[in-house]
Amino acid sequence: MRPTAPLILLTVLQGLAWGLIATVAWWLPSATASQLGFLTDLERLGSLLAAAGGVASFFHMHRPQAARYILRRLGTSWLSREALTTGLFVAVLTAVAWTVGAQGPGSEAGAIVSAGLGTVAVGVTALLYATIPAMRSWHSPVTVLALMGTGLVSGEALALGLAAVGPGASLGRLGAPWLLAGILGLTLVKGLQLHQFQLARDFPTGEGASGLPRGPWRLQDTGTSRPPYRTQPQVWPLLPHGVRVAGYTTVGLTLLALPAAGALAAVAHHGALAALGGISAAVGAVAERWMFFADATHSSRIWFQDVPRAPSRVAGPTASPEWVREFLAAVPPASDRD
Amino acid sequence: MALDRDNAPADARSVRTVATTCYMCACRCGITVTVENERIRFIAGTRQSPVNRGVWCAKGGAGIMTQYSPARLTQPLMRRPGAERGTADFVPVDWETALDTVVEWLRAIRERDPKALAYFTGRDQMQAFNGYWAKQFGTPNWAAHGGFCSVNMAAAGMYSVGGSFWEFGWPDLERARWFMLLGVAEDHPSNPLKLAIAALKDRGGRFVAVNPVRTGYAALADEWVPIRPGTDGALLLAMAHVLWREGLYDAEFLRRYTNAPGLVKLAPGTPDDGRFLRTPSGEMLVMGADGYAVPFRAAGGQGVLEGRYTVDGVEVEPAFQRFLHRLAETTPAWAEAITGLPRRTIERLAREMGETALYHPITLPIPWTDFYGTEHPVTVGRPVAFHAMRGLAAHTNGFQTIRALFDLMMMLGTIDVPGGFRYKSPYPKPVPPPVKPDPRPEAYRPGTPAPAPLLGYPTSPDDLLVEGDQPLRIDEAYSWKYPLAAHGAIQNVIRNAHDGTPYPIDTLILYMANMAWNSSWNTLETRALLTAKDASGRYRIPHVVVIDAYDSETVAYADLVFPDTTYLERWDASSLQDRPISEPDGPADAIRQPVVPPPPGVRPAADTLIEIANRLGLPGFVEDGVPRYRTYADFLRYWETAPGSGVGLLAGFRGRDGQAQLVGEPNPGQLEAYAQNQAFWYYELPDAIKFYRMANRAYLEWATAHRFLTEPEPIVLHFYSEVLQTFRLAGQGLWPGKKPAAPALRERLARYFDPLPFWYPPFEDQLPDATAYPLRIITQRPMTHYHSWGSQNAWLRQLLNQNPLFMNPRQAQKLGLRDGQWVWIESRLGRMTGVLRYSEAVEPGTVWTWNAIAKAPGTWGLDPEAPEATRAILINHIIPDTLPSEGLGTVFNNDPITGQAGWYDTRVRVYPSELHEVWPKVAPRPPRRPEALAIRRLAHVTRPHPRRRA
Amino acid sequence: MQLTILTDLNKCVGCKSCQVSCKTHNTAGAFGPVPDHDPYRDPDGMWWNRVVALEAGEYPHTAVLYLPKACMHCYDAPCVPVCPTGASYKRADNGVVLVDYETCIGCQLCLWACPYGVREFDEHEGVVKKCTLCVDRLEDPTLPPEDRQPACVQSCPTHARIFGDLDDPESEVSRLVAERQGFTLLPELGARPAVHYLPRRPAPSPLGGQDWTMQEEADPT
Ligand SMILES: Nc1nc2c(c(=O)[nH]1)N[C@H]1C(S)=C(S)[C@@H](COP(=O)(O)OP(=O)(O)OC[C@H]3O[C@@H](n4cnc5c(=O)[nH]c(N)nc54)[C@H](O)[C@@H]3O)O[C@H]1N2
Ligand SMILES: Nc1nc2c(c(=O)[nH]1)N[C@H]1C(S)=C(S)[C@@H](COP(=O)(O)OP(=O)(O)OC[C@H]3O[C@@H](n4cnc5c(=O)[nH]c(N)nc54)[C@H](O)[C@@H]3O)O[C@H]1N2
Ligand code: SF4
Ligand code: SF4
Ligand code: SF4
Ligand code: SF4
Ligand code: SF4
Ligand SMILES: [Mo]
Repeated sequence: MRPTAPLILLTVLQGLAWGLIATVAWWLPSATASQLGFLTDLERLGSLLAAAGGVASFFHMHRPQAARYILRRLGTSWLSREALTTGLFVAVLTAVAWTVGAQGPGSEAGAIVSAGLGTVAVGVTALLYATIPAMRSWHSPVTVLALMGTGLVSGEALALGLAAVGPGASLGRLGAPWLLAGILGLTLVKGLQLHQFQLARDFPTGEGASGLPRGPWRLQDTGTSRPPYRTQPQVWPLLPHGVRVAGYTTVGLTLLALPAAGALAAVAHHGALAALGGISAAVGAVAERWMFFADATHSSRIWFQDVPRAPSRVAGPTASPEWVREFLAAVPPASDRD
Repeated sequence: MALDRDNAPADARSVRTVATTCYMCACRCGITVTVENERIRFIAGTRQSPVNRGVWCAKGGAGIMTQYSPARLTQPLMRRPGAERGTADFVPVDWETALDTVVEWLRAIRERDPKALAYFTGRDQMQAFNGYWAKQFGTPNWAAHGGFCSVNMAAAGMYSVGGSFWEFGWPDLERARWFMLLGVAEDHPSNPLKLAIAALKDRGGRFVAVNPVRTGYAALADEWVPIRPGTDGALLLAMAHVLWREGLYDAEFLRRYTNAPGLVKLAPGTPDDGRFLRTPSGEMLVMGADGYAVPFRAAGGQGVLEGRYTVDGVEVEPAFQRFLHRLAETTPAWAEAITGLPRRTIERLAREMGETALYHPITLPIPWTDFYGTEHPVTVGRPVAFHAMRGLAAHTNGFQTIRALFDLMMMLGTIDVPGGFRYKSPYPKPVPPPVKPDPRPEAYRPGTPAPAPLLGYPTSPDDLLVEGDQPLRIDEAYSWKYPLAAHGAIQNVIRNAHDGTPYPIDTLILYMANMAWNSSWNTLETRALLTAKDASGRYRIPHVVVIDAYDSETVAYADLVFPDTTYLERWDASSLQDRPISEPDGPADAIRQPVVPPPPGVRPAADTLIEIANRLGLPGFVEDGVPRYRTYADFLRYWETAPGSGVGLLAGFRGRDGQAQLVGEPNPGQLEAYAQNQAFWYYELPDAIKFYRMANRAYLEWATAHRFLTEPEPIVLHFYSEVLQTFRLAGQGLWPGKKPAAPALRERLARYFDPLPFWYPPFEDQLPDATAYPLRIITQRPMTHYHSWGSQNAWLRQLLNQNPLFMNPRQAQKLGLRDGQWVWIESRLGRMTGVLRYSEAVEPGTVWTWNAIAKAPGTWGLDPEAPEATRAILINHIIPDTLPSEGLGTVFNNDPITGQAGWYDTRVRVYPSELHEVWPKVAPRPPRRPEALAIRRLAHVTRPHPRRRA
Repeated sequence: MQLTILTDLNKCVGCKSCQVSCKTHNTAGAFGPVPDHDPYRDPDGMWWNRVVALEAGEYPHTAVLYLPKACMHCYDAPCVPVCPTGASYKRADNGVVLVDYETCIGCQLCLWACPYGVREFDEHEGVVKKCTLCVDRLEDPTLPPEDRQPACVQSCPTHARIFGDLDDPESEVSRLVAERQGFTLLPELGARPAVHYLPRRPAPSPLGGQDWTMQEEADPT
């Protein structure tokens, strides 16, 4: 899959916002009055992130003028549902954050409703990905767990990190064990997901794809000299092993390890370190999402992909290591529009 | 120019369709072109066309994008004064200047020595006209592309059965039960072969493909026979051995219709050796069952095939017996060692074909009478068919290999029978056809046309164009080195012209030949030869004229360029006098008509040549100072083979009223009549004269009346080639007429002109260092590209724009090579790089790639950085053009009999390359139309989007 | 009615005529254009029908297969329900799956949903395009009746492609699918493609035996 910035932004920010507001909703009852302002700020940050995600999703539409039709298929399309639920989430969250905030009347209810809507929105988004049989890597409940888990963990870690340097240090310490538990859970889920991705890569068989019983098979021609990466973004050069290892290591470090360290730091009153953990989680969510797209196998890969043998239109001479060159060579720029 | 967005409202659309003939390859399908708002929008096959019956191929449909190619030449060009040849530094000139210039050169040549003009044409479709033009000019130095193409196939067929595959004959796959395809990737009859294979498949016929590579047609084969290149002769002879051993051959067919029973004199050391015993009137004698020699025809098909006899004191053996001596040695075990094929496979295949032919004949309820007068109540077919092309032809042992194939087919009795090989009109011709170039040096005199056609079929050494050992032609066709060069030897021209052997020339005209790239071998040197200068700084080839429609690699090497129209812009024809589109069931021909007008600066090549002829006042073009033709359209209508012969280029709609066929007065409305008839003419022969045409009395009479034959004589097939034996005798110094003096020439003749087919290793395999290059490298034609033309086509080039070197993984692993790795590919000539690709579909001793995908940077209207220039490979760079000389001056890497270029003999070694780019490189030149490179998106529509309907 | 195309893999030689005739027709056709990018530089472009070449097995038992692959006009087309705007739809009257360019927002979700990789994205117009089964030809009253068939079917030089109604048990396509074990691609993904393929049908040696292909071994001398 070709990772596209708007989708990464939309899903990551939506998850972050949801994680934030969920954390706020959970912290609110135990917050001291002096911390309410900080929680309001968190809500507002969440609403800004969510709105930014919404704006990003707008850029994913290539024909915004047709956006007026987008709710036509609510009955069947998870994307319609996503537009609706995410829209609602952003709207309610924004309204709550900028009116009552964490201090005003009904603030608890507002936060809970927002968090609830966020759960639905993130869940629907996750289901959008998980319900497509052709997306072999994603077609699994693990996808829902992973997307929701990443949202929660990244949002909570961010909240915790910010709390640690703000007036909410006590809240942070309160949340830390839960964050650690969440990270543990997410680690498990990501492990399952890695397995799912591996299964997906192994999925295509010569038999199912061609009726040819005799293996092994080799793709000699995709119909054109090169795979149609430009017109078919759902296929994408197989990530070279090095990139895959580096990618997942980054995810592990930034989304899981550093935030975990941040949580411990929060408990240990290391505000700066805890904040670092929070920011790392946000970055980690982006890395996680990039890998989620870039490493995903679509069922049609079997007809477009074999060993990388055709450097692409943008391949240029570079002095990078071979795997980087191989990779770059296979990647057309996303922004290559006229 | 480019097809850009054009939102013409629906009601303003003007739509028309025009029927014409495709030119995207030499198959020449009927096409119907849809023109919308004067732009070509759709090209479909013409349903009624006998060639393609409504289908069309990838190239044919994509003709649109060739029409709008940025590589089109749009005005005459002249090398800028002072600019170096080869740099493509041209100034546009007006037509008068261009014509005046060339006419001045040519007039001087013609007055001094017409031989100083060499006119060579590549894969053109106007050979009858071009040959006539050159003949009227008076030079012997004309030929089309056959020498570098498939003359082995044409000549071996003509010298065996008076026809061949390709445009001369055809496997009857609508009736065959067993089909063997040898060495074919795509072939000329592209759509017909696909239709035919589909017909075979529909009927469940068995299909065996003999090819080192399994792709395309071979992919469908029920059995793939992965033979080592250059060894088919051994396979065929071994199969003949099995047929003989098992008694699975059609002895009656051999006795009745071939010279296999002919009594061959055994008189070593005399001029009679190996020649047929004949009656005083010249008729071949055969041995009757009663032990008396009788004339072939009187024997009524009863001549015996085996034994040894003494007739009037002369030792004789039937030709077939001579063959049996050979077959005794060509066992499957012998062939196994040569071909790499299991002997049991060879045996089984032979038995499959033999049993199918003999035990499962098909009969059609068609009575016919043979030349003996025997009436056959039904027509019997041996439903075993073969088809072969350049896999056999493009080797330096190709002629004899193809002879072996035709002899095998004769043994199976499968010549012009239902389910077997069938001739296409005007074939069969006498073996060989009675057309010969004039062999006398004085035939090519200043100011006079040549007295005979320039190409033809020698029947003895006396027909060769030599003076002593010296060739008369610049390409050495019909010389001792390449005696039966029936299509000329275009591949020899540039080096010989450069070397001044046998003599220097003044002007080289190239029409539709990309000799500076994909149709030359040793390409870099060929390019250097084109630009070489003598000590005084003058070009060794003083003038080069190129007539082309597109900016090919060769255009840069011209001093003068004449832009041609595209095929959608001109009147043109596929003629029975040329390379007809006939079908096995009857003769056919076709025209092209202008679908859209040409750009203002462009004229049809033939019109240009006619204009030049008129200005030169060439006889046949100008009579009493009056030009007979202004345009090629005139020529098509009015030219006749001889004044009043009634035979012209087009066979249909002849006669004043357009009612005559084949023979009739010229018809001024002929082209229009063709246009009315979907651009073709087809006459289906009556059933009774569709089969056994070499021996079918009614057919022979019909063919004579319609000028396919000069007399209704039976055409006896040459199982044994006495013609070849005359050359062998010349080699042995025994021939009473012309014979070569140089011992090496004599040896060549004596060795290779065997009257019976035999297998010998291709020349490259005979070289001492052959084993240092253990792999054989070959190319295949991609179905989507026609030689070099495809790459300028925006659609076709997406399908294929870079080509790896395919190698069997087992071989690769043995050599320590990885898939996708850059490798050196080195022949004895030099080395080049390429990217390796594993393929299980290739014989381990062979590597291959697609033909003619690579382009020189900046040509064909492409960006110099286009993948064709930076990632595709051209193996012509390392194909040796010459052989180590045996004291004979330049000996080209040609078949020693026909002069066919031995493309597929090259041996290479392959090893890892430290260089990760295409090498060698040639200097880039700026594209002709830089603005085309700025087109980032090509898209057009003429209709509004449809309204939604759920 | 469910219109479909059947490809006889026993006859397809991989000539790509169907690939190009598709482009030829649709470039100028009602659902076009089918754009090309950098046509004279580093080329790339949209194709609604791609002929894929695969090889399988080990030498010398190598099978080489050509697989023309365009929209399968699935019965349970997964590309349709996922489309948020309804731009992707399946025609009720003939089962053809189409895209309405007016309502398509270019979200490309349908590209993910289609298991076969036959939808292509026109980044310039921001819409998804694909094989239309040539409905514009089928329903063009200005075309002669014999031309009212998909361009790729009409052009195929081996007549390997056959057009018809799969819901009509009497049709040629239904008959062939039934008689010759017609199959679909990746059936496990549940899209129920209407487009079918006919498998190879080897003709055995007349001497008997099943598959003789290179059963015999060469003596390595
Ligand atoms: N699409 C397309 N069609 C064309 C052309 C084109 O350029 N493109 N060119 C036209 C022209 S000019 C010609 S001459 C014809 C040629 O038509 P083909 O004869 O089909 O041409 P090649 O591609 O040379 O195919 C030769 C085949 O022989 C195989 N081969 C090589 N060596 C041997 C051998 O020793 N034994 C056997 N058994 N097989 C061998 C190769 O693997 C290849 O499959 O095609 C014509 N048609
Ligand atoms: N390695 C390798 N080399 C080969 C072969 C091979 O199998 N392997 N095959 C050989 C064979 S069989 C052949 S026939 C040759 C083919 O060799 P050529 O005949 O030289 O090849 P083409 O590329 O067809 O080039 C013909 C020229 O015709 C021009 N042309 C096209 N249309 C028109 C037109 O309408 N009018 C004019 N005036 N010009 C036009 C093109 O622009 C091009 O420059 O290649 C040979 N070269
Ligand atoms: S086979 Fe040749 S002549 Fe026929 S449609 Fe294709 S390109 Fe044209
Ligand atoms: S890209 Fe267009 S057709 Fe596809 S799902 Fe989105 S809106 Fe629907
Ligand atoms: S093949 Fe793909 S695009 Fe076509 S109907 Fe099926 S899912 Fe939709
Ligand atoms: S049916 Fe029409 S649109 Fe579909 S692949 Fe064939 S030609 Fe293309
Ligand atoms: S046109 Fe026919 S033979 Fe050619 S690739 Fe398409 S289906 Fe196969
Ligand atoms: Mo050729």
